Parts: sequence; structure tokens; C-alpha cells
Amino acid sequence: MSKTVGRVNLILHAHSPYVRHLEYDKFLEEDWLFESLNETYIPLLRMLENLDSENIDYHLSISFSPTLCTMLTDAPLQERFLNYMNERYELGLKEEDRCLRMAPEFAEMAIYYRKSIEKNLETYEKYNRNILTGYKQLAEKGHIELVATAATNCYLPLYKNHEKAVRAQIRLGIQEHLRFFGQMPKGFWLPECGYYSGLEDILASYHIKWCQLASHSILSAKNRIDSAGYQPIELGNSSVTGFVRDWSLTNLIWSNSLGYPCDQDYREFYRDIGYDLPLDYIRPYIHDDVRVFTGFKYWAITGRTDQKQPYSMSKAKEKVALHAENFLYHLRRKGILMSSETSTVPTINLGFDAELFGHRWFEGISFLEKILRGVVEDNGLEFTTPAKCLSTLTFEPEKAFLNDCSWGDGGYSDVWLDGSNAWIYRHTHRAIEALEELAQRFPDQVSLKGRFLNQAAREVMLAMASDWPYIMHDKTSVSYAEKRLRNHLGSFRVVYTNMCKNAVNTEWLINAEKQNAIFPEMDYNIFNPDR
Amino acid sequence: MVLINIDSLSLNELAYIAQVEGIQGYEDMSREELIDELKDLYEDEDDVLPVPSGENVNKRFVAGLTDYRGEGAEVGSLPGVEELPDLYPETTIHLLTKNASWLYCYWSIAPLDDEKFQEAYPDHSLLLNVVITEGDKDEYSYDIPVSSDDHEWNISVPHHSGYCRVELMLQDSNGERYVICSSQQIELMYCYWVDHADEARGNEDIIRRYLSILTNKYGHITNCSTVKEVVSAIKAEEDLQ
Repeated sequence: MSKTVGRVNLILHAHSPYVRHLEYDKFLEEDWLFESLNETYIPLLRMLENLDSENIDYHLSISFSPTLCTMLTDAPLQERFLNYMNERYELGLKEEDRCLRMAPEFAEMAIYYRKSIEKNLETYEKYNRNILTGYKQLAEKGHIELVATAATNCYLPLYKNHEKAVRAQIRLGIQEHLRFFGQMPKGFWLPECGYYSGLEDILASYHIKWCQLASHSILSAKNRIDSAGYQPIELGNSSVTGFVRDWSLTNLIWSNSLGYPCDQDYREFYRDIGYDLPLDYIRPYIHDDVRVFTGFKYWAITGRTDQKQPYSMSKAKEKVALHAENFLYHLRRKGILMSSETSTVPTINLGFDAELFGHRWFEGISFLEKILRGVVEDNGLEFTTPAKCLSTLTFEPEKAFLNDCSWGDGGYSDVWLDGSNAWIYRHTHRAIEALEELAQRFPDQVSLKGRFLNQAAREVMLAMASDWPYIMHDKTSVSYAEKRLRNHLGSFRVVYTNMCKNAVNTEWLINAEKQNAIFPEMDYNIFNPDR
Repeated sequence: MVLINIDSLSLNELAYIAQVEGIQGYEDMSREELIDELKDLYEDEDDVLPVPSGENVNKRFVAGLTDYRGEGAEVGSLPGVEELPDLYPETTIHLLTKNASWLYCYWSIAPLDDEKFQEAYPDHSLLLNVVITEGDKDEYSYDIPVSSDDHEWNISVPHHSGYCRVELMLQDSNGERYVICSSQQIELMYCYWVDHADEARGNEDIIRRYLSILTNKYGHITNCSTVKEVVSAIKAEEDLQ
């Protein structure tokens, strides 16, 4: 057996903002969830189950955000997802017929899509529509370490002056993790790798043992850290251990111009029949004549041209094998280099958004499968999880005093605090301060007042989501993000103004609870922890 | 040419990349020899793997959420949507860290306070007083004049140990100044290696390790101003040798 040359922590973060608009028959942005379910969360679960059934001893970590978990277990959204899949299945049958008759070069893919919808539906029903059960079972078997994260994926460094709100995000995130998975998490995924000095003390107060960190956090630290990110570090004077993301290796995959997903033989994300086929044909599968992705895509990336080549599954399969082999080679080489330089086995940490695999990068799940299978070969790499690393740690980790950092462009908070989105903090900070004031003035309320205040706390937490400033920065669905933010803050103001008059607007409350049915265990008193 | 910034890399960085790429005898090569070797290597790779240059029309989107509606398209009204006020009726100033060199502050003055100021000091002006405290040394400060229409400002700060706070001040016609409100104090980002670049000498292996986690296979270093500053400081030290 080869000597271990590197321990590898593969950590995926699965998150989707809370989008649930039952007041509409269909709502475009709900497709964010449905696409990720159909293309990432269900196929990923099936792939991991297959590995388990083959007795492959694999290990990885996954964090599911509480907003995503809430949507995955929400009965109306589950029903809507089934409608979405049934529509896709119907389209699959039509496409199979159309391609066999008129576009035989696409028939193989059309058949593949139809079959994969069938398989996904089967998996979905196997778990009574709650796929988290499947992931939980894999965690119980020791394959997956399930990791907690902030309640609404809040980017915490921009709230560091509002400690109660940061504590609320962390506490509620852990509470929700316990509710969905029934176990206390050891790890906490910092949304956007957003860290600030002192955050570790808050994490430690909730018994969190580790978190992940941005790759440049070590070089930009306040002290000299000789392990340079290749070993776990002790954060400040806390009991929390940090695992530093390796940018050089994640960049082999996660780069929008140079990563493996950009290969010419991989499937083109942007050529979809939702945009390519006549409106009359595609109308039943889009939203009110607004063309959207249907998931039926037949072209390969090809190159810098609009003249795309038909996608070839066999060519892509060959590339997946090559890229997985290349990735393992780079991992191993890094391991050998670092272990020979430092005489210790390095720990290499890879952190990704889960939706990259399958949804954004069609072949991504096959790639992950190859990686996890490849590791069982005797290549000196040991895929593990941060909690396992901590339990076998044989040395005292170096102390690290870090500055603010994130994995966003530039390495700090520029993405979430730029000309497009800086305006929101005036409002979110004000809402937090006003909520703290309410929590102090009206502690331990029950019945209607308690519900009213709990709803106010839900609205503030939802307004703190990092998704809204990110969307504004990204200039994608800006109008939707702005309306959502105004909606949550506007709703909070309804509670604030009413409570100042010592009144409860019952009709509004019932509607708001129905609209944002999240965090059933919310207790607004978390905004007044000293009571 | 893949390695866009190859000519700007230091000997240490080039040696690391050459080591990672398995170039034999890299330890004894000069900077020029390493550049030539790496250029040859990557030009060969270019033949196999096309790499975009200039505007990348084929850029992949590997993160973010899909925009179905297109920029500027309207979303139907959502229940409960209320217009937010531009400003809140309170006198306050907040300071946030944007990155290692910039802070962002926003403020508001309550209408009642504003009236009082107008009455008491009819010809007053407003300014931001940026106060930097560095370790045990005395604090120093500088002013940024602002108008009554301004409510936010980006503030440049130095890279060193210390703290910063910002005071919103009123200055009357006699030059007397009064603090209207003061922000919380924010810790500045002190980076050990910016201050101790000289330690890189004799610790080349550690520097290589640091950079190895931040450098991709094409020799690009992750986009971070502090990392760039450290690399420049170490290069400047090398040049002194």
C-alpha cells in the first residue's frame, strides 16, 4: 500500500435563496431550485448511493443551507417540482420523437434526458420527496460529513458590528441543521468564505469545531503561519480550527475561462431548446411566453464561435476520464511536494458550490464520481472530512490571527459592498437595530404578539441573505433581488410600526406567515440574548 | 501565450511553477532560462487546449443564478412591498470594511438635529474626520469635506496595525468644529508579510508554499490586493540583493 501523500477534504456547499411564491401559479425564479434539484441534488445523491452500494469507501462534506432545506421539505414546492418534472417528461417524449424523425444527431441526448427525468423522479419518490433523508443516511454510514451554515447564507463580515444578528444567523443555522438532520454539526460553512476576526469566538460558543477559510487568508494574516495553509490552523485563541481552501487546485475546475468545464467537448449550457425552437412548440414548457431554459441542450461548447457542434456523449465521457485523471495527478503531485518539503502529510481543502456539478457543469457529477472512485486506487491520496482530520490530529495546530477575507473577487467584501448594493446596509442594519429594540421592549411575548415578533425576525433574517447583494453586483436578476429586499424590510416595518402602537395586525400576520413559511422554531428573543 | 504575467514573476515564483510543472534542473536556472522553459511548455499546451485571449466570448458561467427576465425587466408586484425611506430620521454614522485599503461609511442626520444646526450655525459646513490610531502611537486624523447631500463615502486607509473611526463633524463660520456623531472603531488590516518582506530571504521554501496555494497552473495568482502587495514587497527585497 502506498504511503499517504495527502489528505483531501472535498467540501460542497448546497444553497439556494428562499424563493416561494405560491400567490402565482408558476414563478420563474422557483426554477432555480427545480433546476438544481433535477440537475445536481438528485443525480449527486444517486451517484453517491451507487458508490455506497459498490462498497466504495468515499468521504466528502456537504453543507445544505437552511433556506434550501426548507424549500426541499416544503410540501407546496415539492408538488410544484413534480409538476415541473412531469412537464419536462412530456417534453422529453416529444423531443425524442422529434429528434428521431428530424434531428437524429440529437436523438441520443433526447433519450438520455427523458431517461434521466424518469430516474430522478424515481429517486425523488423513493425518499417521499425529501431527498435530505438520502443524504442523512449516507452521513450515518460515515461517507458524508454534514456541515451547518448561516440561516440565510448571510455574508457575515458586513454585519460584524451587529453581533446579535451574527449570533442569530449562526444559532438559527445550527438549530435548523439539528431539525433537518438530527445531529449536532461539528463544522460550519462560512457563507462566501466570509470571515472576520472574532467570528471564531462566536462559533466556539455554539460548540462548532471547524470552519473553512479563503485561500489568501494565510498569506494576508496578521502573524506568520509556516504551514502556509497545508495544515489545519487554530483560529485566534479559540477552540475552532480553520481549513484553508486551495485556490490553485480548485481553479483547475472552478474557473470561468480556464477550468475543465470550459472544454470544447463539454455540453454548452447556453444553447437550450427553450430559446432555439419555435414558440408554438415550446410554449407549454416556458413561462407566459418568457423563454427559459428547459434543460434540453444538444450542443457542445465547441469554441469561440456561434457555430456549435452537436454534443457527443462519448467524446465528453473521454474528457471526463482525462480531466479526473489530471485532477488526481495534480492533487497527488501537490501532496508529494508538500510532504517532501515539510515532512508531514499535507491537508488539502477543496471547496465548491454544489450546483457547479451537474447544473452549471453538466458532466460535473461524472467527474466527481471518477474522483471518488479514483481515490480508492492506491495513489497515496486519502479523501477525508475535516471532522475526521481533527479526530486524528497528532500535532498542535499553528495559531492564526487572520484579517477579514472571503472567496469573492478581490478576496474581501467588494462583491457584496460595491456601487450597486452598498445602499442595502443602511436598511438592513437599521432593521436589525430596530428588531433588537423590539426584543428588549417586548421580551418573552407569547401568542399573537410573539408570532408577530417572530415574523419580524424571519423577515430581517431573509433580508440579510448574501444572494440579494450578489445578484445586484452580478447584474443578473436585479429587479427581483431589489423587490425581495424591499419586501422583507417593508414587512419588518409593518411589525415595527404596529408594535410601537402596541398593536398586532392579525390579517397581515397570517398572510406573512403563509408567504414566508420558514424557520418554524424562530424565537425573536435571540436578538436579545442578555434578557 | 497562456502565462500572461510571466515576465513580472519573481525568481521564486518562477522556480515554484517550474517545480510544479516538473521541469528538470529548475533549481539552477536563471530567471530568463525559467521564463523561456515555461513559455515553451505553455505554448505546446496551447496547441492542445485553446485558451482565450482578449475578450472571451465563450466565457463559462460557473456561479450565480440564471437571469430569466433580462436586465431591467419588471417583476410582478409582490404583496407587502413598501417603499423604503432614502434616509432614517436618526443621527448616526456607520463604518464597514470593504477591503484591505478601503472602508465604506454611510450616515444620516435626523431632521430635528438638522434644524437645530441650521438655527445655531447658519453658515456651517460638514466634514468627515477620519481618525487612525496606530498601536501605542498617537492617533492622527484627516478631513474629507462633504456636502449636505452626501450620505456615503469610500475612505482610503493604510495597511497597518491600528484602528479607524470616522466622525461626522460640523464646522461653523469661525472654524470651530463639533462632533455630530462618531462611528464604531474598525480594526485595520495589518499583514505580517507586508511588514516583514525581508524575512523572505532565507525562507524561500515558505514563500513558495504560500504562493503554491494561490497560483494556478497557468501562473496566475489569485486576485487579491494584499497578496499582490506581499509579492511586490518580496520582489523589492530580492532586487536589493
